[in-house]
Amino acid sequence: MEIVNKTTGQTEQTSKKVVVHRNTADLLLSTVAGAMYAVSTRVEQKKDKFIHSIPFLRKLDTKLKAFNRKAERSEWGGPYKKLRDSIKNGTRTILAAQLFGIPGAIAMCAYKTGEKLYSVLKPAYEAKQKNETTSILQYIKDHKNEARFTLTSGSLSIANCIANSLGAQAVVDGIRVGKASLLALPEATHLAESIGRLVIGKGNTKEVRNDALVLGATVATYFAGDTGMPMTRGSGKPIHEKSDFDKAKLEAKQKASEVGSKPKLNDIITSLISSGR
Amino acid sequence: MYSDCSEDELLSLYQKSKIENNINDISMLENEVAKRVDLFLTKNCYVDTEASPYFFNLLRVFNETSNTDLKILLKKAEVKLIPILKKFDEDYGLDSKEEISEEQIEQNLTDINYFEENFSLERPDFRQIKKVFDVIDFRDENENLLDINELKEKIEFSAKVKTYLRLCLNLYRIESELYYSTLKAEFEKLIVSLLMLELGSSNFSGESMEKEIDKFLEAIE
Repeated sequence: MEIVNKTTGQTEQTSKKVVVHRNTADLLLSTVAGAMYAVSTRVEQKKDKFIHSIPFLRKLDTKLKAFNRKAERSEWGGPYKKLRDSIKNGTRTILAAQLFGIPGAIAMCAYKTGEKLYSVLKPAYEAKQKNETTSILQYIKDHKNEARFTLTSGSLSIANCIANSLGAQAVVDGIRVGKASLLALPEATHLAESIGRLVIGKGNTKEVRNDALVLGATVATYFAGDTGMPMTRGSGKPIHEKSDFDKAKLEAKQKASEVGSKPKLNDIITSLISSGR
Repeated sequence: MYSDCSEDELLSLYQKSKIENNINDISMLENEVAKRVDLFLTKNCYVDTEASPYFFNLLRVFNETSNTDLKILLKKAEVKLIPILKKFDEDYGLDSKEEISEEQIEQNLTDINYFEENFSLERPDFRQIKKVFDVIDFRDENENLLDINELKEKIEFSAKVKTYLRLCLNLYRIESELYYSTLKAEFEKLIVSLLMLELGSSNFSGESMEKEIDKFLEAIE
């Protein structure tokens, strides 16, 4: 892979290396902070039932404060401070973006990615418990194809999270159907790229939203076209309510019938974007 | 008025309004919580496992209300939340019904502290993890190369914190094997998370994403 050093302007080859950015590591740190706050909150809730040790609760609190101090240090990056409070928002899935704007959405995205990862690593954990493998990395090594799929779909789940927070329901529906192959669509990659730019501070929400809508329209066309399959949200039961895409499709159909033509996908996307759905 | 507030803020405002006996604010805050709880109950909004303790706090504190309708709503939400909380407790070893003694907690903290201080990435059982760090190019947002030790320090710090959380309330004495295998699993999860987060948030096309994954897979050979 070629990387342009923005300070020197020189192109560097990093063919054998995996590039990891400081911002990414700081985002990850916010997920650890989330776990720490959550455990501390839960221990506090249980103190009357199972845990009576007040000195322990004080020590846990001290540990939390020490973590905070260290993570707030300037060289540990800015995202943590922005994200720390928004990750404590319980109903963040829908509300985080509305409540906190982009930092909230990104916090949720980082957090949800962590969650997604832990669930996809379940087979590795189970194999470890049964002594079928010595570690998670060993399991990944022994199951490369599965790992490749897991890592790719896990990475793209960020797209799902952001799309969810931005209200691009069609994308979420498409991904929930469980057709993982759809995630390999160029539109999905494009969305992931624009989210990437947003996360590293070089993109904007409008761009992500538009990309999400294009992907949503593509996915929805596949499942909810005139001759296509009904969307099932993975439950096997067809969805009864009209999706944003259906509504936009209906509007485009009505407009097209006024001029005596058939609705085109572009018209549907335009309708989705202009209505702000 | 309160729709922009986080749940933490709602809780502290509610407690403040109660102390001041500000009936108007109490009512508005309760309406806001009712709206959010209703979202949770109608599936338009769900609470993640890791966020469940915060949400439980919200339900518990607002349960002091004299509004019967809200009380019923909160009770329904609590019933729906319990399986999610149970999963959280399982994940963090907080699911024991047995009481843990103060002495045992003290012993755990002493043991964890000892293991933390004596840990080194040079341990033979951390060989694969060390190899992954060897193939990482750690960069800032301008693509300038950074010291990999900064990343190692962050991951080690985070893995130790997560291990502490998992083991601090262990019912029995923590042996070295348990501590280091837990720490190793936390290290591994963080490293794989880091890779996924990087892939998901950078400008990779599908093909180059696979190439990056292959480099990672080669590193653990």
